[in-house]
Amino acid sequence: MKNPAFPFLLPMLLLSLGGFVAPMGVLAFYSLSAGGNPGLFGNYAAFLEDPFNLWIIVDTVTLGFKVVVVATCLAVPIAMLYWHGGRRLRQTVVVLALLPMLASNIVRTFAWIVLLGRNGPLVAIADALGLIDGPRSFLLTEGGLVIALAQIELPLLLLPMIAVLSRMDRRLVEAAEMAGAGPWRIMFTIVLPLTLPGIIAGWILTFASAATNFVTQAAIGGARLIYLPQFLYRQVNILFDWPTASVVAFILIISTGSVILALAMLTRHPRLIGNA
Amino acid sequence: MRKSWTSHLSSISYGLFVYGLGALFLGFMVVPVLISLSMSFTSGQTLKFPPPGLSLRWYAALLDPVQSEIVQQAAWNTLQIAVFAVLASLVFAVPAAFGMARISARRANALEPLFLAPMVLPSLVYGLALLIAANLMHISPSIWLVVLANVVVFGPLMFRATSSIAQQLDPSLEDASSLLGASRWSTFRRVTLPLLAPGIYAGMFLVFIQSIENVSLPLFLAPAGTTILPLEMFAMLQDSLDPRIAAISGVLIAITVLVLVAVQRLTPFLRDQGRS
Amino acid sequence: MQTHSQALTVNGLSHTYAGQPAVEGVSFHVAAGEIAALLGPSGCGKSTVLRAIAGLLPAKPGVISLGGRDISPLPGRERGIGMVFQNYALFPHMTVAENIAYPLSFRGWDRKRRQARVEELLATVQLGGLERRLPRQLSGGQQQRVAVARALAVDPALLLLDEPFAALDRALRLDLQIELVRLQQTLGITTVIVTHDQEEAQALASQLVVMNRGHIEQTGTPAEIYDHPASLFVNSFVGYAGKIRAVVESASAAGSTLKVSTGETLRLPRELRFAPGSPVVLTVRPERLSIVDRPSDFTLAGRLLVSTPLGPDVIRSIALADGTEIKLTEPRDLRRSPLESSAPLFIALDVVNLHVFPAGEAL
Repeated sequence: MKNPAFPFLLPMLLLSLGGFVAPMGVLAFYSLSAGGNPGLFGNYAAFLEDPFNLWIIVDTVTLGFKVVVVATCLAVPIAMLYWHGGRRLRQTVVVLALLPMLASNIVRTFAWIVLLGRNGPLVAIADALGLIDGPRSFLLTEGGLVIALAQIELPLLLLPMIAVLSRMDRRLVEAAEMAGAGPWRIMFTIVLPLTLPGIIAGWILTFASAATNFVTQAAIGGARLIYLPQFLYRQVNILFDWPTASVVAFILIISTGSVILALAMLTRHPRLIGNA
Repeated sequence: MRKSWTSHLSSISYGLFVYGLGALFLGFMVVPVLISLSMSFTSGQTLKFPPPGLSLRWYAALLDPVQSEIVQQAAWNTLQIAVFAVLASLVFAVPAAFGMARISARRANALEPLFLAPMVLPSLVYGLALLIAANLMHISPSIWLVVLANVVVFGPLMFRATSSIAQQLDPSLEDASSLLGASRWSTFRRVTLPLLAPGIYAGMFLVFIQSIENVSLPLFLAPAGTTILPLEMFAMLQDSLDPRIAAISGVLIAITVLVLVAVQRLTPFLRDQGRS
Repeated sequence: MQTHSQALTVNGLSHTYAGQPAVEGVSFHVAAGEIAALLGPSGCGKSTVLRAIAGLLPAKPGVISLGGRDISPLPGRERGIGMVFQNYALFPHMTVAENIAYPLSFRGWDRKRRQARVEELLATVQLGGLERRLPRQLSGGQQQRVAVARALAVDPALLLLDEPFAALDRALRLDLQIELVRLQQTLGITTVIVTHDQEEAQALASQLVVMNRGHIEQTGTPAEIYDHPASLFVNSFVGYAGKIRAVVESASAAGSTLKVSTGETLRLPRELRFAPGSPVVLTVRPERLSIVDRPSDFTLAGRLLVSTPLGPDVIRSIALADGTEIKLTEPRDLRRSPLESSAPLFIALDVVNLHVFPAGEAL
């Protein structure tokens, strides 16, 4: 290449190839060749033979889906609030959506440990309402983990939705009103379908982030709820079983990646292209 | 036109959904972070919510050289890592963004996924890949390995922030500059670089914050004897629930806000630029 | 302020984009102190020619000379040319004064001298007092004038303007066009302006270079081009022209006969250089047509479709017998009794000024 721009691209290109592609290649090679299992995919076969491990994969993907569902239920009313809001209300929604981003994942996880813990307000409320029988902790429960992750990842879903809504033509809704549609019908047939590109983009981010959020999964799920990221961590830092760890790494990529790919395919639908 | 009672019911329920649930969930998005911040001012020994009284004792504890020696050391190490990661990202990502705007769209589209890929992958997986690759080359975990990992994984954030501006730059600005007598270097220094600055500052902010917060990369790559702040916080989160973690969170949020304000001050025309 | 105006000659200029010829064999001459307009539809290559003159594209093959000196080998910044870009290309992070002083800083001028020059230029374009504004705080017209001032800062021998009025409101355009012509006349600087707007080109330029599909169709004064178009393309692009299909029946020095697509026959009192039987297209300017009561050798029967008043004139759309639509303009108060829609009438053609082009020529 004698393109004059090439020298500018070279450092980043070398960094990508040497610092990223090469280590990932090593990891792939390692997952196939290291360890004592025979055959090219011996390590993978050995891992997948254990039903306990299969459940971890299922649990991880399911966790991602559960978080996406809960986050969507939370995001839609907020997005509609934004949609109906004037300038001031819209600004407030955007600022409040960005605010949690100022706190790191650890800080936000820490907040949920306080909230879900035995001395936390959620337990006190649930106890007062008679939902639970005496003080206990919501930590180490999947329900607690899903709620916490949904809150932590919510901005990732909400912000792309808001980005689409902010560009949406209000006259579309006026046209639907003139056609005689009520507010619920407008929401379900006009506003939300047109927001779908943002919603799907948000789903991808939320799913990917929730399914691989090692810190929150480990701190709230503890040793009782094991998902692939924590499983990977244990193989490396506790069991020192790097071959298995490298297999888990690729299974994590493949299992979450295929869901993300499927979601991304949705956005290729001709009805969705163009109104993003 | 008189509305029927069903249409009244539908607009009431819709209003409740949008303004009631919307406001409630908006609060739900923000409140946990506020709670964790409020915990940092507790006068109690534990993280009981609501706090029994207010005090700055846990912030004072952070400053205490005896009590918090490890935390302080960890903070210092982390700061160094973040600064080096920012500087190295500048070196790799800014020229790449500049060069990317100067190659054909076909080549740019081929190269961009390569540059952005490390950002998409779970950082836990990349941490393992780099650990195994380094181990094969007989490189043991070190601060520099953490810096490298941060540059590979978060440098793309700088690339993307700068590149999005570089792609939008009107090429006639550089043409105009050269016709007005500027050499290539003068054009770069006096026209291109100042116009890229908002993207560069935003990229610096993102890389800095991510390098301070990320757990997964130092988890595998930091040397055994070296403490790193996110690891220290993660450990506190998992076992002790030391109230100092709330104070550290408070300090981190304050730093984030300060850096964000600084970035916006540095780019006085950033906001108006986006509007036009 | 004075300029050393110089003549521009472009000779045999060609340029290819990715293997596709964008401009082929373009040659024209602009006398010192004159305004020429490169006129043509978008994609005709006029901007490519301008960029080649500026030195932003290589002229290979081709020679561009300014004041008799071949400037083709020089890089753009050494050609002594000022250019106003389509979107003005004002540096958004610099004030008005900094934008204008930018080229001066490469001349090694000191601060004081630069400041004096900036003030002088701002006075010339009537923007005194706006030195410290940023470009986005200016109106479109003010931005355009800053761009002109910046282009003139180092006393260029040639001023290039790329669609300088395209981004402005119609109402504002005329004022700025007049202002530009006045400024150009004061400075006497040789100027080349690129535009797709034929009215703008006629209003501004003393010489038009009409381009189409990468080559020059015709060069001449606005009047020459309007009255004697060299091709059907020029005829239709510069001003409106109604088109009527016909076949040549006979052509001799005594006169020519045409069989029009409506079936009627037209006699022209001049010789046409077409063999009998050739298909042709007649073009008629709306203001050269008139409505008459009775048929003759130079009339065609028609039916009024719609009349639209436009200032002092009225534009009438008329359908010929075979459905061909043409437009006609006449002063509004010429006719006491207004014509009714779909009224049958006859239109008289100005057979002297009527143009005949071979049919099938690309429009």
